[in-house]
Amino acid sequence: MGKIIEAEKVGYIYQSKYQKTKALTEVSCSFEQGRVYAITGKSGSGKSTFLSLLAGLDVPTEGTLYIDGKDIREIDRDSYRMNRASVIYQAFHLFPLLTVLENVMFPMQLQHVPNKEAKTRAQEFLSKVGLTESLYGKMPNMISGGEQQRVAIARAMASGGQILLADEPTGNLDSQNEKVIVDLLCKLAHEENYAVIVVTHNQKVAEAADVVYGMLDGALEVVRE
Amino acid sequence: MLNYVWYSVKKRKLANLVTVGISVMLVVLLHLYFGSVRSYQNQLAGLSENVPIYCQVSNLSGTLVNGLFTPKRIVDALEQSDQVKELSYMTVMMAGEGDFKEAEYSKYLHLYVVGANNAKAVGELTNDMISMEPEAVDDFFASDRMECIVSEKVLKRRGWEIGDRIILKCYYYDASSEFHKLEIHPMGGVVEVEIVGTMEDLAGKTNAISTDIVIPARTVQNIFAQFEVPFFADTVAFHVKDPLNLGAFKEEMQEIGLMEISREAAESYPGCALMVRDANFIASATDLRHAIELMQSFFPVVCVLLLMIGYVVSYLSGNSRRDEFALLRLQGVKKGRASLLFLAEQMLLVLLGNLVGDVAIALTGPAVSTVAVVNGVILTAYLIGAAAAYGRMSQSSVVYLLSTQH
Repeated sequence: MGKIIEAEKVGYIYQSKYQKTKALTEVSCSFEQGRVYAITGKSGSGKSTFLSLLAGLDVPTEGTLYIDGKDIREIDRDSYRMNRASVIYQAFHLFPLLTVLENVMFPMQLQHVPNKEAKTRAQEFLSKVGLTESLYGKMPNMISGGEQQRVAIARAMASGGQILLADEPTGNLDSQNEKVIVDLLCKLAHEENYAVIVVTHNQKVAEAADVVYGMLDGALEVVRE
Repeated sequence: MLNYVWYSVKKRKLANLVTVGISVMLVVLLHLYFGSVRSYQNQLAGLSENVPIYCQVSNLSGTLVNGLFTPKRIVDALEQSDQVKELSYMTVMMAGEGDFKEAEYSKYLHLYVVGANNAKAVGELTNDMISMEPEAVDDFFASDRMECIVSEKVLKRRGWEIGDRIILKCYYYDASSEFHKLEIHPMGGVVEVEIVGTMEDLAGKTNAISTDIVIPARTVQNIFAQFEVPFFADTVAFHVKDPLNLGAFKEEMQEIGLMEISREAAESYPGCALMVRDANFIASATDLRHAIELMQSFFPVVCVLLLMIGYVVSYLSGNSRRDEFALLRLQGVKKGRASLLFLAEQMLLVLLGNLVGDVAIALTGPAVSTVAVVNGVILTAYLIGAAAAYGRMSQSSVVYLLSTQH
């Protein structure tokens, strides 16, 4: 399996008006499709910063991050997020004005998929994450946290990219829903060939991952491979 | 993306209603502002019609406006002047019927004859007091035909009929060297005029001159010329054509030979001065100009206020949707496109508000140009304000926006 993402001595410095803070130091690692990666560490260790770089929301201040062999600085990062990588968060971040179905249709509408086809495919994705049809017309604030996270995963699938980045995806969920989401992420990696990268400090999530990296004070080390 | 605008417009009912409401309110307020300015401007433009400046030729001391001797040169110049409108003048003569001997003038000289260039010049005479069609009346006064209109009372008393031709021996007034003493001289022959109409008796009416016969002013001028007597006008009055250009008017009047009234001058009969009744006009025009200047001086303030409202409304609207903006960015929508999406939605609502405001204000019948200016100013203000607000929002990082999500 080829490397889909490769970090080479990646560093990142937050620069405010008054001070500079080094968040990442010479992070080197790689990610492949079909596997679940967990990045663990304490709060403030730099794992969310690293995930933001992987999502193309920012670029490294040092080193190079390669996406499909290309320097992330040189690619269209908006297009990358639209077509290649999706991010899910602890707070779900669904569009509050759109229904469950419309939320999942949205990435396809951005890609100019005809409405009818987008609807059919959205229903399939929702079905894959185990949501019943009765929820499709509901607004995000009318469904449970676990269901919202499943909608977020279905929306990530709808973009068609093979990279799924997750920042504490089970942080707001109970243990039952936590298991559902972890199983879903593993299924996406092992059955749908996604590269799933999960930032977490949840031990159970880490245990389910194929590869575990640990992050401490901005430095990354392999915990289990 | 248009779908998203539609969802947003459809689902954010209250917020959108507030935006539309503010826009409607701005349209109405701006219409009131521009409407007031336009109303003042219209009042100023129509001031010459509503508060006309009336002028009368007077003697130098300004004590007489009737019974004057205003030379033909001045009457002709006023007739040709571009600064004068609705010129009225008349000449008064005495006449007797038939070719009587001059020694017997006191026996025959009982007819009061007026030469006038319109009905108004003859005291309180109006067109509807004359037994002729209105067009025929105007034609009569503009002509130089040997025709006349006779008072109904005189017609009856003398046994005349319309269509009769009457012989008149005319006498003209002349000022003597002593003020308050007028002399009367025979023209030197007779004239024959045809009776073409009658007029109601003016006796008893305020300011009316008891007139027996009216002859067109040009005909009277010809009669004076025929007997080589210098023509004069007894009364001359008119309106200023362009009161807003009073300086040029006064300059031309001086060139014509009409002087400013001098209260210290001795009483006299020559019509050589001009009494300009412009006090009301000047007061009204000055008030209106001040009002217009005051309103116009507020225009920059109005524009700044609109810009601020446009910015604040867009900023508040944008601020409440930072999470949506961040989500759009997270989905790969470009910064500019996401800002444009919000901007388009905002402008759509403002346009809707403008439309509602325009429809509401249409009942007052505003000028099309005012509607265009009002809408243009509001849209521009909102566009600039919203562009600044959303531009500022687009500078924030997605991670920051998501981390501060409501």
